[in-house]
Amino acid sequence: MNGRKIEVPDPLTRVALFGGPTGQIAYILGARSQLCAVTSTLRGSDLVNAFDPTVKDLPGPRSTSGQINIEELLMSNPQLVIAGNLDGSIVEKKTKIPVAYTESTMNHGFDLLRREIRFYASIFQKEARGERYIAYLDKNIAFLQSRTKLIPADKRKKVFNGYSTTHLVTLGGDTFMHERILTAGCLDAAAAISTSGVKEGLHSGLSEMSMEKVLGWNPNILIIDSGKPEDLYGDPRWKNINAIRNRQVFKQPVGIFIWDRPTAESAVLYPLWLAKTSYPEHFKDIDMVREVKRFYSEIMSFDLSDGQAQALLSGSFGIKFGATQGKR
Amino acid sequence: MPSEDKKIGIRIDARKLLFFLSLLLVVVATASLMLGQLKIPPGQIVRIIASRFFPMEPTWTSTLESVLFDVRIPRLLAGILVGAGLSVSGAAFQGLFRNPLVSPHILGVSAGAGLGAALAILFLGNIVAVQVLSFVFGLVAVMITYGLSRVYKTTPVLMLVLSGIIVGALFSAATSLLKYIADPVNNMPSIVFWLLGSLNNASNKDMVIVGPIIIIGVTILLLIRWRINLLAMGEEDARALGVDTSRIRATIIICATMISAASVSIGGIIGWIGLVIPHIGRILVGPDNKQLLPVAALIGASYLVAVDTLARTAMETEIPIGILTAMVGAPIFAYLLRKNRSGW
Repeated sequence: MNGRKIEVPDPLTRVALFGGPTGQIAYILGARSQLCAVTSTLRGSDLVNAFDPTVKDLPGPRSTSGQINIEELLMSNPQLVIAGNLDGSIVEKKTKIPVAYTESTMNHGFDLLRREIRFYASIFQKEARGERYIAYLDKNIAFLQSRTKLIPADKRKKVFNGYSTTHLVTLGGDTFMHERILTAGCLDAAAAISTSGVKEGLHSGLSEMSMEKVLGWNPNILIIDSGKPEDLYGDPRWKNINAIRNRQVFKQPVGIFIWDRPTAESAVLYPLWLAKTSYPEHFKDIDMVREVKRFYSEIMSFDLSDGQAQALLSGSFGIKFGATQGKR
Repeated sequence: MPSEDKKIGIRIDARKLLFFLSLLLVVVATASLMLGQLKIPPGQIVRIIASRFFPMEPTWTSTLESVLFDVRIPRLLAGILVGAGLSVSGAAFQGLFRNPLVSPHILGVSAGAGLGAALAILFLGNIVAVQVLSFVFGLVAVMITYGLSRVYKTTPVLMLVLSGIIVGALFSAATSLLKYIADPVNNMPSIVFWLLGSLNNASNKDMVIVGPIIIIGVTILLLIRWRINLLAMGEEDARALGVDTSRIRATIIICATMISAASVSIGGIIGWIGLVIPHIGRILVGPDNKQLLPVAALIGASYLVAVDTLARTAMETEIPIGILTAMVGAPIFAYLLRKNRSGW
């Protein structure tokens, strides 16, 4: 992906996949059996465990960006490591295993995602499955555009993503999130804010906003990732914001990974969910439980029950982290 | 008393200085109320505030009123109280430990509070729990430090400092462990943001609950400030004069700990204030705690309000205040030390 050329062993049967959010790619491509090591994030995902319990038997040598247990990686004996810049450079420095680099930035729009899917697909020689996902993605984007283009400019809802326990940490207009909000036919409250770039100790792309800035934006829709909407409904500092007045605070869903990251699942489902949440009157025919079940079934061969789809949408699926989990 | 050494510092008449510093605080506070991410004309702000006292037809939206009364004013109060509180406890601790390198965090209060906050973010995930647990853990850490220092039967002050370092290291390590096992996607950024410090979340409710703790702590320290001078003579000399040193010591530690724990619970870890401001005060009025403590309180309040105003207006996004207090404080400190000896 970054211009370097590598030779991919043939047949490729043992791949260590270190991309955090893109870990789900193996399921999209139907290449799960070719994995020999994954990230601990993927191994800790409730959703993945529900449909692929053996994922726990795979070693998880990468716990988080920059943290790789090299011995564990070597023991899993990979032919190839797929990783972002930092992880890849560590692997290259310490081992002789070839590394295929992926993009690990936060301005990860649909274009980059398509290129990345095709890149993975070519490595795993699963081009047809890759194209199937891209077709699904494009159809969803086209559907959303055709529905939302009828919404007049003054009726468009302004969305603010208020993460963290303070609900003031957000992704700025220069991240992938901007494109996703626009795709849902909404306005991005933080459009003028620039937050991309790596910050020490933080996931890149996140920054804290001041309370009065959010009051000034006055968003119609507030998406949170921790706590409950009720906490905000009782808070005097938030009471003048439209989203709080009209009880339009929503907790974001969690699938294989949380949906505010540039993953393949959220590229399809987040804009759809946001559009349905913001404009229920325009999307009466869309049943999110059905859409979630359809996506995971068609793309990843995960057949969710209604209960599982509802749990996913309510954000109650979790991701268990920890350096000591799983078998070696 | 070191006050016979007239060459140290600048030495300004204390009463004039206190008047000037109070005026400075009023100016800084007013400017801070006028500035913010939302541009509100100063006249409008005056009218909104006046409307609370006089019947007036509102020409503004309720959002502007909320910006002023629910965001800027509590944040201003938090800046004043935390700035004054940390500076006074820093000055008191420096007197108590007879050491210029001591800050209010020396007994492990911030390390404890950090662990409490990390636990709350990880397992409870709401802001009230973060504040309560950080306060409680701050107190617990200092209690452990105090208990540990009494196990050894040597110089109590030295043992306090060493115990503080031990407890601080343990609590910090536990926080690092939590950061390591925390989900790097949601919880870790929350913990990191919290540890960097911010007054962004100060609310009126916080001020009602936490404000009195800081005010009472500062008041007690100001009332007993002349006794801190006695401790500065040294344990044996003070005791020879019939002073109950362990009681004064306990009072100072309790007050400073309550202040620091309360400050940390609303603003996260804000370093450097408690270390630097007492030195600036000492340059101005000398090491006599009778003058030093009130001066430090006023400078600390103005300083933190000014820095916080910078933190919330300099960029489109918030700058964590812990970064700014260090980046602004350290060079000022270096410059002042070069220009004037601070009287130790």
